[in-house]
Amino acid sequence: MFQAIVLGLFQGATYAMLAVGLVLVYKGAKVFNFAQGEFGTLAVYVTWCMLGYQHLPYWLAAVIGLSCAVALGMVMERLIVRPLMGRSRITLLVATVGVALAVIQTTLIVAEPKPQNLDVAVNGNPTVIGQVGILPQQWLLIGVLAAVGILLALFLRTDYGHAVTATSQDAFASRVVGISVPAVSRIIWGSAGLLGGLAGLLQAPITGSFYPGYLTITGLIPAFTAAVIGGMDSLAGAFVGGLAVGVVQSVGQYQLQLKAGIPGGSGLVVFAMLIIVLMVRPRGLLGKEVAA
Amino acid sequence: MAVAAQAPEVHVIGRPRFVVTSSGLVGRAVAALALALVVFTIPLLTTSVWDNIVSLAAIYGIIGLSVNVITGYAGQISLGHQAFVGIGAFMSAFVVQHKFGFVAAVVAASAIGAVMALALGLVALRIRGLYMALVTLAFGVMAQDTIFNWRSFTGGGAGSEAPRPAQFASNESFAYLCLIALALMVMVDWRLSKSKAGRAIVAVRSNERVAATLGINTTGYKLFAFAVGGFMAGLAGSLFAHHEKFVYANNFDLFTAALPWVIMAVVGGLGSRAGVVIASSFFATFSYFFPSAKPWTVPFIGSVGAQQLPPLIGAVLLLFTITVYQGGLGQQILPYRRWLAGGRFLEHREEALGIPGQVLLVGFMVPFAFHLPWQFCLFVGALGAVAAGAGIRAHVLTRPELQRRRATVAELEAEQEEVEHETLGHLPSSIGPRPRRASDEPTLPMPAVPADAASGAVATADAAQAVEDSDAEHAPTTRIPAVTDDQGETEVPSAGDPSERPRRELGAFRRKRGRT
Amino acid sequence: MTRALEVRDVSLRFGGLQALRDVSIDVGEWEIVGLIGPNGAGKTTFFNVVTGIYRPDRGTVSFKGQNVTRMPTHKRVRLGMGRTWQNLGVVPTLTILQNLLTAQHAHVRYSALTGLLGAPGTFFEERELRRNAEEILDFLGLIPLADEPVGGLPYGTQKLCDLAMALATDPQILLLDEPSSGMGPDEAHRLGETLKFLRDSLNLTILMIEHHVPLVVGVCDYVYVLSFGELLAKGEPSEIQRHPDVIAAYLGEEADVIGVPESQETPAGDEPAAAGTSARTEEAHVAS
Repeated sequence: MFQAIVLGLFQGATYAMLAVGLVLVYKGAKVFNFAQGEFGTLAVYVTWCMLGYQHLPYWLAAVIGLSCAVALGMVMERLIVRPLMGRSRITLLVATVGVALAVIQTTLIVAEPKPQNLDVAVNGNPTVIGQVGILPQQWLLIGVLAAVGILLALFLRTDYGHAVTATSQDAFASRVVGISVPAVSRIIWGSAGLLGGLAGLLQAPITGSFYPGYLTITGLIPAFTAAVIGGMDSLAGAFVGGLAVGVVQSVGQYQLQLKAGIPGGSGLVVFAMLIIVLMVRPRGLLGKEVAA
Repeated sequence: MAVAAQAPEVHVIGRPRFVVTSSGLVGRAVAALALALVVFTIPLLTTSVWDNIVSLAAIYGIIGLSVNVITGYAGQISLGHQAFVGIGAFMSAFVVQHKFGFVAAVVAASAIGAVMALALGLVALRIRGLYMALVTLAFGVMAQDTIFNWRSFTGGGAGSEAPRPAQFASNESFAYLCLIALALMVMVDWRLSKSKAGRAIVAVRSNERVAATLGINTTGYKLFAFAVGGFMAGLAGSLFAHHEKFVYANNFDLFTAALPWVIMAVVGGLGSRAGVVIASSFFATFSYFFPSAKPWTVPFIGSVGAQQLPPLIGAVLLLFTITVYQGGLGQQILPYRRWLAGGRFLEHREEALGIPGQVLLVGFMVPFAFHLPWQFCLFVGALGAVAAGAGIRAHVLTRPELQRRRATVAELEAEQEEVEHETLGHLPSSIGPRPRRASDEPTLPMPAVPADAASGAVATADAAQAVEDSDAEHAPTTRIPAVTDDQGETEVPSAGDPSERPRRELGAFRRKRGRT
Repeated sequence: MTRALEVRDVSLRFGGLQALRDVSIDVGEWEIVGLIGPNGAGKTTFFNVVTGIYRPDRGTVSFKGQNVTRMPTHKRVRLGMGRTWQNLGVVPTLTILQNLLTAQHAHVRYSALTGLLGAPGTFFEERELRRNAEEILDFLGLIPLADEPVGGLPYGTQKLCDLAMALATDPQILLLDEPSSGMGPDEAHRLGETLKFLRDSLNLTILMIEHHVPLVVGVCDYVYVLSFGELLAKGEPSEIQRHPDVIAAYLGEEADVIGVPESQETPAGDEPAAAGTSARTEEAHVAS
């Protein structure tokens, strides 16, 4: 049981990283971004490709991979989000679904469907907590997560950060006061791409193997649940929510599936969390407003 | 002038409408019949393998319709639709395994589909918009992982057997069964959209409060929409199970089922029956267009199997539909639908411009589906497009309103006057300053109106006609005929004693429930 | 005088804002009653309470003698409450005709399920609904636009469509939310005449939120004034025009009267229908 909690905490870090990206996009554009997982998958595939075929050093491959993720975010902003700015948010959501699908299918075509492996960024002996071995890679993930959190919190207090919030609330008024809405939009989606890419890149070596769409299939719904629990407009909430979802899912998986034999226990637990939060406290733990 | 109108009970309301000529009617009937004939004789003419594809296309058509009811009419995005179809499939298999017969299986499947959708509908009452989308997504995945893996119900990972009934064992007969089911569901959808339920659902989607003040039970109709959609999905699921003869949980995957189904409904055009059915059939059969022969080698990427293209094309079509071609296929085929329903073929210039492109596309796709070389398909398409273009051009030249030209000043003025006279028919319009006319009467002679009901409406028309001839600036005292009592004196209506108030009918629009 | 609508001591609070405080309004049968007040006074909120969209914290709403305070909106509509909206209560994606068909929802005789299955009765019922709709459209002069989607039409036309839809619900009381907004003086005057005609021919009672002073003075039998959620004054239009509290609420302390005094009003011969003929004043005279 304690192991389940520990495992859950570290798994939750990935969810938190994805959730932060989701919340950032929501704060910036009031949109649920279903393609967030694909930013990660793309980064992983590019990095793996650079490592395996071009034999670049790890850090360089990672940088290239992350750049591709950022590029995808900005391309998506330019081609999809900006033309659809005035439409209903559901339309935008479906558009992000379309982008996610397009990326998954493209990776399926370009690469092989079979799972691949990505090396860890840092090597070393695992630390043992309560009979669970924690790889250095996982500590790296936690560390990057913390760094991201602090940087984002600081950023949002700056003028640029306020510009981001202003644009999400009223794009027209923001433009009137001189905020460049396209620039803000680009920053938001580029950052979302970066965050998604980091999530994928740091997580893939831990889970061992990756395949097209893996991050979306395994991580997107828990990440959304985490964002909702924490509050869709609260970055701090995304962290808290991510860890919470990770722990509860892990414990639930252990209890339901392994002990009670209910199939798909982890998905069931996450779904239950989502429903309960939305019914009881829709604005989440730390959120201030309920999304319409 | 008013007294002459003793007679007419019937006040004819004229409305400028396009009416089909009898030859036009014949043409449309022949076209519709030919279309129906083609669709329904396909199973007869093709091999058993193609019959299976036809069944699948029909099943997808029903799925598309069910997504259309929930997402297109009720506006609730359903990213977990595989749950409804899947539960129908497994229920149907379950019932047949327990020897209750095929009919019972289909009924049970549709019922449980409706029930499950209803459950989600109850959730939708509390949770709205984007969050609901998330809930449906999570629900669908959860259903696939948990419910469909429940060993006692679905056989767990091993899957569940769903044999076909004896009467429909052959592929051909099953294809007909599916086509008939599709036709029935199209009819149900048609009646839904043309009846009070369909209008209520759309009104509730548009603005709940307004819908409530129109007498619509908003909660009831939201749930109704989910139930109908779920019913259709369950039915499709049952047919799907028996089509495959074996159901597995991973038939209802997020990426192979739920998301493509949403895509095909969106690409088909939400709210457009024909578009959704055609797009769904297309999505079902699309992968068969590509020959399963050797894959292509693309530089730098490696080998690309033809089978891998359709899902990507689907996602790209979705993005195109959302951004550029809004209204999806339904919007593109609007001229044909309108024509078949007895209206004009073209009403806007943009429609005319789009037709050659459509012919090119269809002309390319049909031979391509039969695995003819793509160069030939392109040639056929181009030929058709050129012919269509010439035909459309000839047609447009006969219709001046479709041609682009600059209106003359005289035409603009005439249009302005026409608008002024037509809108607010009985009440003089005040759009723009009224032109002064030579013969202006400062006041309007009060028409003497008898108190009987029948002439009420006509008198209104006459009085209004008289009013239109005067200048609005000298507005007369009362334009609406006042009530007269037996002495012929005018009496200003007032909130006086109820028993003395004379009752007047507004033409034939009577109070329905005998109120005094 | 029988009361069509009786609202007693209605109070409603939104978080920190007291939207309505002990508002009591009576509307007698076949009266045209005006509800005026500065912006933000709570008039539309009041309408929402009367129609059942908001439930008041305190107070009752009675319609035709029946307590409807707990009744859901659509049931009140079936009883005979019709309403128009300040922001246009239309379905923009449908045509005017389809909107009017939708508005008759409460009076359709077939059930939702039978409609789905295509029972023969539904076709006949639909035809009758269409005839009724065309009748109303014809009266309001909207027939030429019947097949146009409402969303693309000009504001005034959409407002007429809203009125048509309210009429199509076959109401006994019509709650109009700023029916003359966007209209010039002539149009507003004609609207007043139309409302009076409707009141006579359909035996309607009308309660309307209005800003247009000549319309209120010319058409209303009785006026209530709302300010900051409270009833400020009530009385006949001529009294209200000179009521000091009302003037202060609208124009400040210095003004004398709201609107143009009667002696200077245009259209020639237009007498305020309410002067001296209201049933209430008779009641009051009888009582005193």
